[in-house]
Amino acid sequence: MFTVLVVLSGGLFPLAAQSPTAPELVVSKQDDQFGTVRWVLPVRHAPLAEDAGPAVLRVYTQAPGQSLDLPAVMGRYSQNRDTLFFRPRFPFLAGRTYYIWYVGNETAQVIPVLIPQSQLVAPPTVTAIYPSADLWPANQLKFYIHFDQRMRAGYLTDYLQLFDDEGTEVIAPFLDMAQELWDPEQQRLTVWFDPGRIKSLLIPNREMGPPLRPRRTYRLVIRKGWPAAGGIPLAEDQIKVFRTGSKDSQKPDPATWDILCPAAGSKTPLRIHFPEAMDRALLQSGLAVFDDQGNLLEGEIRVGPEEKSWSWHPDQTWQSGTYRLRISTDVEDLAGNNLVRLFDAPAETETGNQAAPPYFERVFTVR
Amino acid sequence: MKRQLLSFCLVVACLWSYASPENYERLTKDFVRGQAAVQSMSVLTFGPEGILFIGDSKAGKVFALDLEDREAPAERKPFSMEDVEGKLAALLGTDPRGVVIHDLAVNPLSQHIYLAVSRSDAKALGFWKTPNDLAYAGILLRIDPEGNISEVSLDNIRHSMADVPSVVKGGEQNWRKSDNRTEAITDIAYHDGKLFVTGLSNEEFASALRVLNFPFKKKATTTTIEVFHVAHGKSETEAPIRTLIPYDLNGETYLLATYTCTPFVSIPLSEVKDGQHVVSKTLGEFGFGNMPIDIITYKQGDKSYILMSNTSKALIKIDPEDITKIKEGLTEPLKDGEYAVGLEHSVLSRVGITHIDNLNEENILTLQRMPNGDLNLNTYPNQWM
Repeated sequence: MFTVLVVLSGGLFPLAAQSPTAPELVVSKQDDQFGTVRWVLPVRHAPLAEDAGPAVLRVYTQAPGQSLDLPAVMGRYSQNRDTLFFRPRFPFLAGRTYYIWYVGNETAQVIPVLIPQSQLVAPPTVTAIYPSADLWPANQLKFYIHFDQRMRAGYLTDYLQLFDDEGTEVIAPFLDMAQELWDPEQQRLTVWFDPGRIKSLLIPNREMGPPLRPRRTYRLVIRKGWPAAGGIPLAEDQIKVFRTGSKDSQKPDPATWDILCPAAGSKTPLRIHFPEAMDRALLQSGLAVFDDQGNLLEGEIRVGPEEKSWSWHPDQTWQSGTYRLRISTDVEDLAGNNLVRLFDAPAETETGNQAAPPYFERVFTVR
Repeated sequence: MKRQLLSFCLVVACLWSYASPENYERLTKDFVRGQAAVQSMSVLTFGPEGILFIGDSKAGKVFALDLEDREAPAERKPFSMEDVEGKLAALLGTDPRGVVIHDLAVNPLSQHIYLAVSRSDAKALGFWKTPNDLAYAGILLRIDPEGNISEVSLDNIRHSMADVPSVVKGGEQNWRKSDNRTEAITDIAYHDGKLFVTGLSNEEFASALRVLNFPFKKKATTTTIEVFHVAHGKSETEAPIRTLIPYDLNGETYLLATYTCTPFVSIPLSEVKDGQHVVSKTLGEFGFGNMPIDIITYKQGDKSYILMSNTSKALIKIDPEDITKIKEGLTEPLKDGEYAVGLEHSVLSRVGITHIDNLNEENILTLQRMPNGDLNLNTYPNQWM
């Protein structure tokens, strides 16, 4: 449910009995930690004319009066009966003091509000790291870090470290990009091992070697301090220990996948077991179920433990007949090998002219 | 006599067409009111009738916005604002290191100043890191002559848009350790019903010049551009043009363009054809270790000049007459000890200037880092430049 945390209301300024209530700042995790100023308007203002919000309530980054020429924080005003709301254009930042200026009585008053670092709004946490298995191929291409809230971009190199089994930090294992690869909600970060060091013919690979070596144990450390969008940092180091196997130089082959066909008349999921772990994000988007006429069927995709299985839960009960599982050729294993191309293929085969099909199909029958 | 009168009428008509209700109606008749789905305000430039063009690298599109901002100011006076970052920080609820200005453009009709801005970490800006490498600018701000700053909402605005053909894909890193896609659109310039869009394409010769008709209708054309880079001692097809300006010289229109490490080149517009690969003429090399930012023209009396701002050099002034003196382009690498060669140019005593635009006919607006560290909007009269 929607929880509202009252961070600070009046109180710094004693209010006379007939005084109107003071504005207050409310912040909630569900609100993307934006923070909203809420003010039950005094009778003299209510109802407030449209566009009159800034005349009676403003938020500043510095105490007004100290630096009069600074504009007020930009944002949107809205009214619900006698309550005025101000939502800033961008989230209020944790650890900062803002100044709520309002005209309750004849004269304007100012309330300083400190946006808390962590007491009232929970710090971010890492909810998952994929691949979830503890054994990664030595040529692992990328991995995903999931956070429970919107994070600030631009901190990967400061807060992500990799150590080998002797405790030595691996130097520059990850692709260093100014534009980090976040999902639109900025909760899932995709981290690439430096592809130039993985591809065996490229100069970085020759000079520095691959980022991971076979049959070692590594410690991936997501360091505390990584800030969420609202500014609150990750409270604890998050550590993922994994071992490396050998190099995976095989393309995934859908012909080798085990398909467990459901029974007609049931809503049993269609299950697939892979001989190796697969890239999780591509399992979410790269497989779909069609009927024999080629119509896309609706259902829910779930990825199994260690990304070694996949299930599809149909919205409708199965009818007996033939179905097609369509697999995009973009589906990859952990080493970035997709159905038609090895990640570390020599350049000439990579640019070969044979047109790859956009997808493969496995036909299965429901009885 | 009659013929002279006709010429006179044509001249008047041309001047009038730059800002006339008929022209405005014609140019904006296909605009629709609604949300302009801009994903990144990579570059801004004004066209006729106060129409703002936004080049959007992330979306791979160009947007034309009717800002409904066509009223001339009461008086055309200089403008200045101290500590712009401090003011933007106050508006965006952060501190001055938390705001980045991506581009600036002045509406020639209203003299309002428009800024493309993001709330991002300015500490990450580096020698070769431009604002567009750090973040997608998502805020369009307007500054009026009184210094009031307001956001221009794109939620319900009259606009049209066009796809920029074959833009470079994202996910690949360039030598500046930035995503190639941030250079899909590096500059836009409007001239005579056409919008010129520079940046990287996904074609064999990546550096591309696209020509879009405005109002947006017909398919855009793409020409790839090759430059002989004196400082690098070789021809290059991968480096994007950083900024360009269309310019008429001796009755022919040229695109004058400049690149990182500062070769300055010309391309006759007549050679810009769809699907063609053009080798530009390198007129001069203004110095390595620099990225050009903006280029404008301005007048001192009746005489025109070209002005360039840079990441690592003071303002550069060029007399177009010197361009016409150059018959052959540069084709030899820099010799040891050489720095700037070719086209004559002056390096002005104006440092720390990133963005420039014509505030009006008599003044140039600059975004300038001051000795005290503040970022100011300063106006300099044309005759001081």
